[in-house]
Parts: sequence; structure tokens; C-alpha cells
Amino acid sequence: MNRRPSLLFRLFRHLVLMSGAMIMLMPFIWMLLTSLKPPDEIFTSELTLWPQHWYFVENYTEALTRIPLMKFLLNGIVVTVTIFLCQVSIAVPVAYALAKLRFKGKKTLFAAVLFCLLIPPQAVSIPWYLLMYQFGWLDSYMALIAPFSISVFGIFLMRQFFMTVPNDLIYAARIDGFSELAIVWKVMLPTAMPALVSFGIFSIVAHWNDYFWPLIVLNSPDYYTPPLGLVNFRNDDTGNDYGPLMAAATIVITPLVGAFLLAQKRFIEGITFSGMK
Amino acid sequence: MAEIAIRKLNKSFGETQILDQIDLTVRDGEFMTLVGPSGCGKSTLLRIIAGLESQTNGQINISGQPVDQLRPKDRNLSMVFQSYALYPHLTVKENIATPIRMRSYRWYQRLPLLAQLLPGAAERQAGIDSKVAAVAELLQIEHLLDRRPGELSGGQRQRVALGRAMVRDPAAFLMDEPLSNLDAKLRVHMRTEIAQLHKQLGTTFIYVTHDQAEAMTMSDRIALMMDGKLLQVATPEEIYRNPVDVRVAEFIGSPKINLLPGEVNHAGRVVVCGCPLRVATQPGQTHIRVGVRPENATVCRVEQGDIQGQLIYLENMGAEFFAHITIDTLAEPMLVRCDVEQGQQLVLGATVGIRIKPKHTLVFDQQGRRVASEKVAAEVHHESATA
Amino acid sequence: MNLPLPETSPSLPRRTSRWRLYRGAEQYERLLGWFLSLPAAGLMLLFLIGPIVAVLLLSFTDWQLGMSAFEWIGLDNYAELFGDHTFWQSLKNTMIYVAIVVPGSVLLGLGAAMLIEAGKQGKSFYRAVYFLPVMATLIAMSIVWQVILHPDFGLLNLILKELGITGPNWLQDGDLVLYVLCGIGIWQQVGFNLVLFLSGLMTIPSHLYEAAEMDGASSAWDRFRLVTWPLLGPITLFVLVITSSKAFQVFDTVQVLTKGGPNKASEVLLYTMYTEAFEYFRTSYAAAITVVFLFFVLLLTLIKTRFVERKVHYS
Repeated sequence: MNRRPSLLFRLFRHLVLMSGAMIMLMPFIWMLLTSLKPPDEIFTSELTLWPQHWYFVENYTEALTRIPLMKFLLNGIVVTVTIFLCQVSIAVPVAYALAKLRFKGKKTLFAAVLFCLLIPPQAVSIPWYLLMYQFGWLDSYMALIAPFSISVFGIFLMRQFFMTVPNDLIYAARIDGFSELAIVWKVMLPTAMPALVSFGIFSIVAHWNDYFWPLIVLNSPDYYTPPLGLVNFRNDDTGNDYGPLMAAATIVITPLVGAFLLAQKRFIEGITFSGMK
Repeated sequence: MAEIAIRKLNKSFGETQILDQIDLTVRDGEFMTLVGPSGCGKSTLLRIIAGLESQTNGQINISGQPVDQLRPKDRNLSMVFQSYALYPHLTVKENIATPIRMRSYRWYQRLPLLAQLLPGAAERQAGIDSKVAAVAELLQIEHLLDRRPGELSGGQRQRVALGRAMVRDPAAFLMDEPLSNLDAKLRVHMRTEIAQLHKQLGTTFIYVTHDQAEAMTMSDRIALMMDGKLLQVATPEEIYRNPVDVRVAEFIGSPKINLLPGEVNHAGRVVVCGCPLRVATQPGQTHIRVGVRPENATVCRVEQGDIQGQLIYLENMGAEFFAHITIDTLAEPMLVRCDVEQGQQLVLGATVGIRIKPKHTLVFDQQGRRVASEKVAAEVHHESATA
Repeated sequence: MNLPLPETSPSLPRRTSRWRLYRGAEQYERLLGWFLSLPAAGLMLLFLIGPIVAVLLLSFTDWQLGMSAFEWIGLDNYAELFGDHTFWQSLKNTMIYVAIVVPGSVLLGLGAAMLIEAGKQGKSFYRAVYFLPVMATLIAMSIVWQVILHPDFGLLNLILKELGITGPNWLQDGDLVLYVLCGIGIWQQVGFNLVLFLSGLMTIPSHLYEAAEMDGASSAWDRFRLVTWPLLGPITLFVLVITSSKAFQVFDTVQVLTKGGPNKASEVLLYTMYTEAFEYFRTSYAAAITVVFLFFVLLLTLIKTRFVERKVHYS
């Protein structure tokens, strides 16, 4: 349509989308503003948007010192990164085998992968818990990481991508003297970089935000991931102190939201992948 | 440099026979082309030679040594692929250097960072650099060395693929339809280049293509395959003039050979459409096929022709004409080559005679096998023509 | 002179292979295939296939965490479940949640996507803003919502107060709480659906709109009926199924904001399962709830798989 929409329509479009955007952004804005306010401005029955007194330093210092927030963030990073590395190192070889090698049982294996794609993690949380209990891993990094070390979604995604790599490339690598493991990691993986990045974003976002599983297996704050730490902060007696609480929430969402704003397209791709499987 | 001998090679997937008793010896330094329609098994054969697939039974020797138990990289062969198969994440230089790096370095010498600290690293790197430079110069791709495959044109990628194959003096080059992804003009140009490269290197080449023109122009010898069988192995000249099978005759040559259904009369004369030709063969055969290449027939006046038909179309190729002539009882028109002078004088729709050169006429039996034939003395022809 | 010939050509290695196992490319490939699949296959068995079978079996036993023996009790767990008021309340609440969040987020997502696509300015800005809730840690945002919904000092009630309305205690009011959770669910899900719809709209070739206009579809509504809606049909079904399956899995907001309360008014399936399994440790009973939960999720994914297969056939 080359026809330019009328001015009225363009105004209407922005008006509607802008009000929608305001609702979308409102919790974020309110979170930020509250994290900058002193308690007496928060607990007031007057509607004030902008803080009268800036309480930035106090609230954020409070958030970082009252609870070991930095440790929680570090836990979050350790857990998500380890999960991602495990998932890649297990998924990539099998994805290569499923896409490019001929072996007995391949069809069965792929059918199993497709079946496992249907299983929501909550549905197997009871046996997982029993397994962790059996292994003596409850309340540890192992419990947070081990059940997610296998990602059938990652296998599926990488396999789909590897299917598009021409066989000739693998033949060339074999003739050039690459070992099969070198083919997997040095030839196949570099060609699949876009898929790997999308999968990485998907995996890291999912596990950074995960609450259900850490809630089940963790007791001691030593291993708390950011969401768990945040909820515990709120549940504390002092947790009704909204300023520091909002400051903590801001700190928890900042890494991902910041990364998202820097690389929007990749993030949107990566996360909508989960729906595309 | 090496001779490659293939003995009684079979390959099947379950019930389907992909390769059937292949026996082929590629001589040292020879340019051998495996040609045939798609699905004939030529690429499979090449991949078995390379060790990328294994045969069901049979043997392959390179330089007299059996290689059936060797992995691809231990066979010391280079391969160029149809899709070029360049490593997309490496530069041209790194692509070309890969085979030497993988072969001449131990694994620890290939480690990133650490490798540069090992004794002798600088010399090794210099050795590789000079080899890559030499290959790049030969292929005229020096200016592309720092680019990645994604930034190159098809022809340039083709050269890089050749460079990667050449860089390490292999026993033989295997090429799997390397030109079929190029546009027509570049393809013709690269034919000459590859043929010249072969002369320069003097290494054994095994070249797979479905394009008979490539096979004819480049090869020392052609091995023609169909349905998993080797039909004929011969020089381009021989395979063109003396095909042993009707399928060979049909596959080689452009435009295609004319195949006329015929029979042999009691005197041993070949008869097409009721007209006896000046060709004799073993008597008593019905349902033979007579192969006449377009250049082995001439358009003439009706009374001079062996057979006659109606001129329905004239194809002007510039340097020559091809006359399409329908013959009453035949479904397909016959193609006859004429020179420019004659072609300009021909009139569409006219009834013309076709004179067939008996010496170059090929006779095939009912099963498609070639049968011996000879020219009949001229006076016999006049006798029957007047009779 | 008769010189002895070298045994092998110097260009070929003398050892036949580094691996004596090597018996040609195909067998090697077979072994390699198994070797590369082994870790994944083992972990899949341990963490996915085994557990799903275990849940099913557990639901037919009386086993509880810590017990050394168990007995098969057949369908007793299910009988207890179906006689339990809490379970029905929980299932009903989950259904209501799904029935509100799915159409809400799908329609809003579709509307916003079409408005965004209808103009030129601000496309990526709007897309990013609407997508932000999908990205942000839901737990953190739930806590923010709690602050906003605070009866006395929350933003929402302060705004209502300005308008002269006394706002309710959103999260403590049994009649409201589920709908509040639905609202948060929609807020979180719209951006996801919007992005899927945007990608769907992008694939509609613009010449189809031109053709529609030539054929006399002059109003925007006509064009929507004639082109947009039919071509968006497949992706809509897709979005519906994904959103439903996500809505079934609602847990985080409930656990953080209401704990199923007040008086089970916001009890949902997964939360019931969680409390039974990990607070009361009635393992086998919780397994039965899991099986019910799984039944609904698999039903939805089955529809999706059927649909995806159909889509593959189309292309």
C-alpha cells in the first residue's frame, strides 16, 4: 500500500500504542522511582511521582548490604553459565550425530528427543527432587545445574541447524584431517553460531528467571539465585521496606534488561524460539 | 602421484545396488573423468575412493597398496566439492592452510596461543605461509587471502577450493562436479584452467561430472557410468566414435545422436524406414537401432538421399545449421548438420533427401549393444536404388 | 641392476590406521554416532524419560518421601484427588486463569501488532517496550506489582483515590485476586504474542493487499477480513496453543503474591502440586496431581504438534 495513512489514523495509532506502552512500562518506572525515594515518601497516601529527596545511595546500599545480593547475582551467573555450557557440550555432539551420521537407533533417539520436548520441567520435579536427594545433592549448585544439563530443545535446535550444513563440508574436513570431535567443535559449531547465540539467550534468560526449581531444592541462602534471594528479602521482617526492595529488584533485572536493550533483535529471536519448537 | 586401481567394487544399500562390479584403473598422472547421468553412482564411487564411504565388497589400491582400511585423511588424496565446502568461519588463507596444519602439526602445536610459544613455531608458520603464498600465486588469488568465503564470488570460491586441495601435494585429486555451481561462461573458462592445472601438476585427477562436454574437453580418458555399471572406459575420441552401447552413444555428443529404428534384411543390409542404407551387418536381426550423428549425414536432393523427409525447422548456430527433418514413420525428427552456405539455401517445408555416411554409422542390437557394421560397396547401393 | 622396490609408496602411512577398530567409513560412522549420542541419551533417560515414567508409577502407590516400602494402591490417589474440594477449586481457578489470559493476551497482542505494522514510526521502540515484561524476571516484577497493588500506598489505589474511588485490597479480596493475577499474566504475555504476530504479519506479501484493493476491498476492515485474518490464521492457532500451555503453568505470581489465598481463591494446579509435594511431602498424591497437570499440557502440545505437522504438509 503506497497510500499514506491519514494524519488522524497516525495520531490514533500513536495514542493507542503509547497508552499501551505506558501500562507496559509502568511497573518498571514505578520500581525505579520507588527505589529512589525515602520511606516517608513511599508510605504516604499522597500520589507523588518524582522523589522529593533522593534516596538513591541509601536504598541501593541497603539492598546490597542487608542481603548478600552480590552473592546471589554471582550464584545466578555461575548457575546459568554452567547450565548453558553443559547443555552445549552435551547437545552439540548428539545434534551432529542426529543430523549427519548414519547409525542404528538414530530414529528412536530422535523420536525420544521429540517426546521429551513435550515434558514441562515442573511435571518431573518430584522425581528430580528424589534423584537429588538420592545423590545427596540437595541444597547445592549440583542440584540447580544437573537436571538442566540436558536440553532437548537445544538438541532439536542445533540438529535442525546442522541439517542445513552441506555434507561436503564434513567430507572436506575429514579429508583435511580433522578428527570427528574436531569436526563437531571446530567445523560444525562455528557454522552454527547464530543458532547457538539464540539458544544461549533462551537458556540463560530461562534459568536466570527460574524460580520453581531453586525454590524446591534450596534451603541455605548460600546458593540462592537472584529471584529466590529477592523473595526472601521481601519475606524478611524488614522486607516491607519498599525502597531497598525495589532497589534490589532493579539490580536483579538490570543485567538481562540491559543486555536486551543492547541486542533487541537477537533477544527477541532467542526467546520466541521457545515457542517455535 | 599414484595409480589408482579399483577391483570388483560393489556397493549396495539393502536391496538397491548402487555400484555393480566396478573395475577401473586410473593410470599415474592421468586425467580420468567419471561421467554419467545423476544417480548413476559416480559420486558414490568417488566418495568410496576418498574413503568417505565404504564399499560392500571389492578393493581399492593406491600406488599398489590397499587402502580399504585407511581413513580418508590417511589416503593422501585431495578433494574439491561441488559446493566448494570452504570453512565459512576461516579466511581464505586459513582455509588453504588447513590441510597442512592438520597434517603436519601435532595436536598441541595447533592449540590457540600456546602453539605460538612452542619451539619452532615461527619456522613452521613461515613454511605454511610460503606454501599458501605459492598456491595463491598460481591460482591468482593473492588479493583474496584475508577475506572469508562469504565475501567471495562463486568463481573465487572455486579457486580457493582448488587451492586447498593443491597445497599439500596429494597422491591424486578427486573432483566432484566442481564446476556445476558456476555460470555457463565461467564454467567453460574454468574447464581450461583445470585442464592446464593438471598439465602443470602432472598429478592423477579423477573428475566427476554429469556434463559430457566437460568430460570430452578435459579428460585423458572417460569412464562412462550408468545405473551403477561402468559401460565404457576410453579416450574421448574413442568413446565418441566407437561407443560400445547405445546409452553411451546417446549420452556423449551434443546435439544428441539420431537413433533410427531399423532392421537387417536377408542380405545383411541395414534398412531404415523401408530404405536400405549402404551399411552391412550380420543378417537376421530385427529391431536394431541405427545411430547417426548430425555431422555424419548431409542434406541433399531427394533422389540422392538414402532416406527422405520434410524439413520442418532450421536451427541457425552461426557457424553451422542444424536441419530438423521429419521422416514419415518416425516419431522424432532427425537432426542433420549443414554448413552455412547450404543452410541459407534450404527452404522450410521442402522435401529433402538425407545421405548418411556409412563409415560412421553405428548399429546397435535389440539389447543396445554395438554390433559390427561396414560400408557396402557403392555399386550395390545403385543396384538397390534402381531396383 | 635389480634394486629392491620400497614396500609401500612413501606418500602413504605404513600403519593402516591409528584405530585398529577402523573397518571402513560406515562402521566408523555407526560407532561414532553411538559414542556422540551416549551422554545425551543417558541424561535424557535419567532426567526426562525415567522421571516421567516414575511420576506415572508413583501416582499409583502410597509412597511418601522417607518411606522405605510402598504399596500399589491403584487409583486411590486419584479417587482422593477427585473427592478433594481444594483440587476442584484449584482446577477451576486454573481454567478461569487460562480462559482469561489466553484470549486477553492473544487479542491484545494481535491488535498491537497490527497497529505497529500499520505505520512506520516507532516500530522497534514499541516492540521493545511491549517485549520488556517478557524479558524481566517475573519474580522481581511480581514484587513490584505487590508494591503497586498495596491497598494504602500502592500506585493503583493512589490513582483511584485521586479519582475519588476507594480502591480495594487487590490481593486480599477473594473475589478479585484471581483476576488481578490474570491481569499480571496478560501484562507479561502480550509482548511475546505480539512478536509472534509481527513476524506473521511480516510474511504477508504486500502485493496481496494491493490485489485486495484492486478487487474492491477498500476499507481497512475488508482488507483485514480478506487478507490479514486468513493468512494469520495458522500463526494465531499456534500462539493460542503456546499461550494456553504457558497459562497452565502459572506458578511464580501465585507463590510470591498470594500463596493460593485468600481461602484458596487463587489456588492453581501447579501451586497445589507444589504444596502437596514439597511442603506436606505427600509424594504419591502430588504425583497424581502432576499427572492431571501433564494431561492438560500434553493435550495442548498434541494439538500443536498435529498443527505443526499440518503446516509442514502445506509448505
